[in-house]
Amino acid sequence: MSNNRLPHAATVVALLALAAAGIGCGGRGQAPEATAPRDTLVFSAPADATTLDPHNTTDTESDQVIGMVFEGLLGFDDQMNIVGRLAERWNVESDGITWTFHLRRGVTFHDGSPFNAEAVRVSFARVLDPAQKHKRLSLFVMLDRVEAVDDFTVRFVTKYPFGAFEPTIAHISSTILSPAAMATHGAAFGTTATSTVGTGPYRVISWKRDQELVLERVEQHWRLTPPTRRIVYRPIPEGAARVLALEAGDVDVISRVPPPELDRLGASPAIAVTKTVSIGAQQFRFNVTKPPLNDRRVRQAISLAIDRRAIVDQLVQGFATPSTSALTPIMRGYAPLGEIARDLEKARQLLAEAGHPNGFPLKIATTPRYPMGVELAEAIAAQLRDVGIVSTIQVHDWATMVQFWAGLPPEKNPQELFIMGAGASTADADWGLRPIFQTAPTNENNYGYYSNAEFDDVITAAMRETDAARRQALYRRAQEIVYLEDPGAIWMYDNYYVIASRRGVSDLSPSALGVVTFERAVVR
Amino acid sequence: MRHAAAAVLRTVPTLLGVSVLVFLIMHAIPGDPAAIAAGLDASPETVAAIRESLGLNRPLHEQFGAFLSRTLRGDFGVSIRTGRPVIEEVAARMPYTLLLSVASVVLAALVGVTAGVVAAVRHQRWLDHVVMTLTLVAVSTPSYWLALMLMLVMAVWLGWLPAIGAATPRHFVLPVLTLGLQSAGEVARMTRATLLDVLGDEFLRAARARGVSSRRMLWRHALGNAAVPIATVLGLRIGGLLAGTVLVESVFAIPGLGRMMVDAVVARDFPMIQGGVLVVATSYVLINAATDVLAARLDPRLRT
Repeated sequence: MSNNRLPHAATVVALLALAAAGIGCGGRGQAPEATAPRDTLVFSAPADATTLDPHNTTDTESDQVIGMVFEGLLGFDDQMNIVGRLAERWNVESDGITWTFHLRRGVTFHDGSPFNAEAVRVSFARVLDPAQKHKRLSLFVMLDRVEAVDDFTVRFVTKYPFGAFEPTIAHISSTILSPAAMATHGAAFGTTATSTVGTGPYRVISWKRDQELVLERVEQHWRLTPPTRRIVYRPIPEGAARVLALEAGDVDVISRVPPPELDRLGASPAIAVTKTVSIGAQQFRFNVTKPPLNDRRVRQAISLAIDRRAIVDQLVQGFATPSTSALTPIMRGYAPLGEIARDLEKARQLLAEAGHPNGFPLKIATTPRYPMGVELAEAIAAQLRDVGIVSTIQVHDWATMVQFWAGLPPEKNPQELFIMGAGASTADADWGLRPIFQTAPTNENNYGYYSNAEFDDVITAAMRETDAARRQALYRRAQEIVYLEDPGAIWMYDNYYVIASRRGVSDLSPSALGVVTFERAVVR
Repeated sequence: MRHAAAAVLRTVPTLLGVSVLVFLIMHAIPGDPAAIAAGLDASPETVAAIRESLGLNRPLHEQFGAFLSRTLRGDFGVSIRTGRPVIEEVAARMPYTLLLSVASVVLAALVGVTAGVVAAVRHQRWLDHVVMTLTLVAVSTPSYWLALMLMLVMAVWLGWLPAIGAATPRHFVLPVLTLGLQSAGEVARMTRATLLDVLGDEFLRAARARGVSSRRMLWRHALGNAAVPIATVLGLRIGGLLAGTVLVESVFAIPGLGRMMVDAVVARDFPMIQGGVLVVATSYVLINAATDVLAARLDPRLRT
């Protein structure tokens, strides 16, 4: 899970030593020769998948593998457009709650059992059954029922018109599981190679935890047969070791390149670095119940006192770009509202109007779990000092941080300004705004107790709106409120998804969701 | 034999104490395993359901009682994070950590004892100074840095060995060097000091006077007497290594126990932490007991 296990200073020192020692040493296999494609590609990320059960996954590493093994009725293409996968076509009735999917024929699961309407029904019945306690149940609370109309037609009925229905069905947790494997393995589905059965272009043939997970292509897959026969997924927790393994030729592709290594790798003729706009953004969220943060003018002032450009240039150069809205540009519903430039004059004026001309003390909570989490808090503290705000920084480990966000009432939550990564895995405005800023009694998802009556109305209307143009206009309004007028957070920057690969590896398709699609990848 | 049985018996209260301590520490530090397992965007109902299914909403003494009775029956429970039985997870990782520890202790013993003997025999000569300098470097080199340097030189520059992984014996060369060289430094210094101590003793001067050859004297009389402290140091090292391979396992991507425990602590995966700690503690205690027994064989004074 975490790739930040070692003391930070040690990492930096070691990386510097490597950088100094590694200059001019590109490693083996520099010039890509015109060789025949190899049949195996080795991919390395900081952690192993925790589960391969689509109904239980909540981390990128698991999603990475699940996305290769399973397919849904709908899916996302490289540009995050929604496309049909196991559904050939689909439509919604005028009531806005009845969706009909016409399924593709002739598709089989890796275990040979046929894909049909019953498989879809049983898959959704599994995640929707509260007794089975799947972690992704909360994604489907709008679903009333899923019915098999005939062998190749499925009907979904939602409890109310739901504008984000299609992105939800394209989500990784809406993929279809083999009914035979579900019956055999029950709750253990997706915990081993043999209990992981979908319809995707790759199937899992072995899984040694924390060592390697081997995926093999499905010959004559209905959609495409991947050029590379085997993808080996080999977790390497340490960033510096991951980079060395790539340079030594032990692995072909790595994710989560450590920021200090980016320039060196980019200059190496043997390595290619690929950046993709992602759904991920870095914020510092306000607890709006803590005076003086309950005054929107104070929150506006803090947002205006931050020099995002300087922070991006100094801390995460090449990995991020200053935010331009409450969502990232790749997400459905995004409205470009522009970077918030530093304006100390305006910030001081707003603080004076709010009755704090000389600033006030502020607590900032952060965790090294987020890349540069501690450095970011330090930068913010330094910049806020220019308007008289004196900050105390508290650094917590992840487990401690999560406790502050587990549904506490405001009086039990001491946090004031706290770090928060955002990234709605449906790549849609609904999941990206509604759960986290809509008024709620505790902070189960709305960690900062944000509450704005107009925002609530707009976001509810947008959720039930299925007309694309009207939906977009509503989400634009919602972003204006929470990003500019009544800020719910300091939006810092939008993250790029950065991968590095050996020259000779081509046609990788990194996705905004922070995973690589290997189905067209070629290794030479 | 009585000595061995007593040594094993003494481990029982130690292990019980370890279990209680781990259990209490895990429940005292902040962090809710259910909230972490559920993920950030889970509903409180999901978190509550997971908490209930894990039995985390029951009183502490009940949870501990359940844990103890399960453990005594050999059932270590199921990992919260991965959903697989703890015993399987531990069993899958144990061989790697064991291999790493044993191989690096063997390396430490061979290199360390040899270097220590050489240094002692050539006391105050240039070879002694060289060995002592090298051991000082070995002992004080941070293993994280050493690991990355070995990878850079042996894997990236020279291409002689694989940088990471655990698939073949060649994969273990760099991790074992990283772990073993540091211990070798300690063992060498220990061996040298003990030998110098013994070599100055009365009985050796007497032996020399009896005409015992100096080679025989060194190997049989002197080293025989130095064996007890050396064996003790090595025994402690093995126990320490079992728990201390975390860093090397992370850097070299070896799926061992140390790495598993770090992931488990980060996720507050209670069953996994308890199972893992118990296994490591048992191994440590058994190795200590074995060292005691061995020391008794080597040193008649300890046979009581």
